[in-house]
Amino acid sequence: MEKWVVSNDLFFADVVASLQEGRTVTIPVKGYSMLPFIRGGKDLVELEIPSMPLKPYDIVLFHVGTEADGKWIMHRILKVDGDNLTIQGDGVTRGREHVKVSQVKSRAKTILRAGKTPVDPYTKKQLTLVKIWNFFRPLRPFILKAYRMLPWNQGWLKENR
Amino acid sequence: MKLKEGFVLRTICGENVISGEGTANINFSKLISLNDTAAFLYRKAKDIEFTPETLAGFLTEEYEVDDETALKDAKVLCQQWIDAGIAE
Repeated sequence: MEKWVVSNDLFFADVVASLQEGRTVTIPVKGYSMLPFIRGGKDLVELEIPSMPLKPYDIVLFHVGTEADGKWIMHRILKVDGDNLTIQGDGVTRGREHVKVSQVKSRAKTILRAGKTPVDPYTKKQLTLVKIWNFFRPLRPFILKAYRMLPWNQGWLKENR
Repeated sequence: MKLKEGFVLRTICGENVISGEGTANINFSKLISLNDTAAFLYRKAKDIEFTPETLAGFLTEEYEVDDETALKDAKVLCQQWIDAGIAE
């Protein structure tokens, strides 16, 4: 299958427009900053218009930077303080983003894994896993390194390199 | 043959693409790109039963192309649509 590479800005403008039509939108994701919960290049994410107020643990798609030179990122909310959000990728060991609620354009509704039942990332079970994952944050670099070395993860990680 | 339900031709990032669409969801993870001619034929073929000959007829009506070339191209396109899972 041929891969069609388009500018993120054009792509997400269409995604947001489709969300505003009142439908959810399924998109592929790139990158490893949401490992191990979302595997870039392998999983799909169903997006929805976020219901307000946003909450900690929500996985959100947001825009940072200027309109002409910006970036689209999907990470998880750590903290909500009024209009200010602190966000971090599950697979990120240090960096955090500080954004305004208005920068959030969408929220992940479902994570789709080939051949598996779609995952609602906000069930009690999933959130418990996230809390355990966050508890071990200082160990993330080591756990992620081990995760990448697992034989069943080698194939898709190599394909998306 | 006919085009399968659940697919919509739309413009994404300036390109004609077919996406899987239900009333509740649009799937942007698998898009089938069409050139302008294929997009023209897709619009004409929507909601009708057609054969490569039907599509060749649309081509000769719209474009300056001889019958033989039109039919040859229409046959290739029909096979591509079947292979892509958007026609049956």
